[in-house]
Amino acid sequence: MHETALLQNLLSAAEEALAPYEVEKVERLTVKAGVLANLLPDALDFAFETLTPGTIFAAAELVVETLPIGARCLGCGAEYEAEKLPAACPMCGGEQAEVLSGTEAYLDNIEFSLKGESQ
Amino acid sequence: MKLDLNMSLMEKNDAIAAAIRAELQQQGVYSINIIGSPGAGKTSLLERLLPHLPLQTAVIEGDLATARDAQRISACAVPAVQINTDGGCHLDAAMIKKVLPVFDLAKTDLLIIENVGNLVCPTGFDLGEDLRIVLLSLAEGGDKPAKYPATFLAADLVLLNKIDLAELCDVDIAQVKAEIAQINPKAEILEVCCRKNHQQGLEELAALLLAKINAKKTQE
Repeated sequence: MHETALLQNLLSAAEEALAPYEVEKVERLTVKAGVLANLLPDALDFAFETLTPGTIFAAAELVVETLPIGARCLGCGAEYEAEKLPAACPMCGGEQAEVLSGTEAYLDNIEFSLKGESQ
Repeated sequence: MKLDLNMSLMEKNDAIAAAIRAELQQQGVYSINIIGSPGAGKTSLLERLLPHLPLQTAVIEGDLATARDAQRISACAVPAVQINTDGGCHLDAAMIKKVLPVFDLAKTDLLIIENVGNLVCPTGFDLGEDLRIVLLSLAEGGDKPAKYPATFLAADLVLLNKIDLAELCDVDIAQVKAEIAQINPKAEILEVCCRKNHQQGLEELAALLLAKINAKKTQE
């Protein structure tokens, strides 16, 4: 359950990012996570529900978008996307590929309203 | 309004890991992070490997509870410190930074970090290491690389331990190696056995590690 630790980091980073603003309400936090990031969306949701009551994120929604694996075939050099590993090259069928992306996990954006801003 | 951030969830850990890496580099210390399941043989590997390394080595042991592993390493006359995570499923860079002052880094050549026994959670946490070893014991079954791809993807070196059990456990070693190569073609793979009276591959492993350590020194 390392998701709890990561979500704590996420919330403190989000709080820092929002510090310069007169925030009325945080609407949504969007996280993007590669399928190889070992982040379970359900576990993130659970951690979010557990950690946010009483904070500025209490009424916010957590959206987790999954990103595919980006790979480059070591045989023919084709770049392609895959949902899991191992992922054979769709061009030449080669079984060995360099993984270019899919392990990343980041807070992509925060949506919020400002005090005095009309909804 | 919408604030675009693109802020890594690992940012805090990665920043501390970078600071650790810089400090170890400055002190001339090579560092290794060993990841593997509970019972894969991580501590046994160290007990058998350490006598083959003509280096000043220091060990950090990660476990949820007990100081048993650090005691086992101390019994090898190697300085060891135990981190107890009290339920935490992985070591993070902040934990490593906290215990580093325990060691005399100026007199240390090699720092080995044995992670908490877990094939999933330690994967995303950079500990400032130069080399990441994933230790898989064949008794766990040969299907583990395919089932835990992110872990094997992040490995520089995969050690297949308990190699003597391959036949008893119906594991096809060539098949395991092929599946690792499908996930991570760059990973080196070595076979080892760390039983007290049946040791295999440890001198080869020691030679490989020494070569890597020397290569890094030459680079600097």
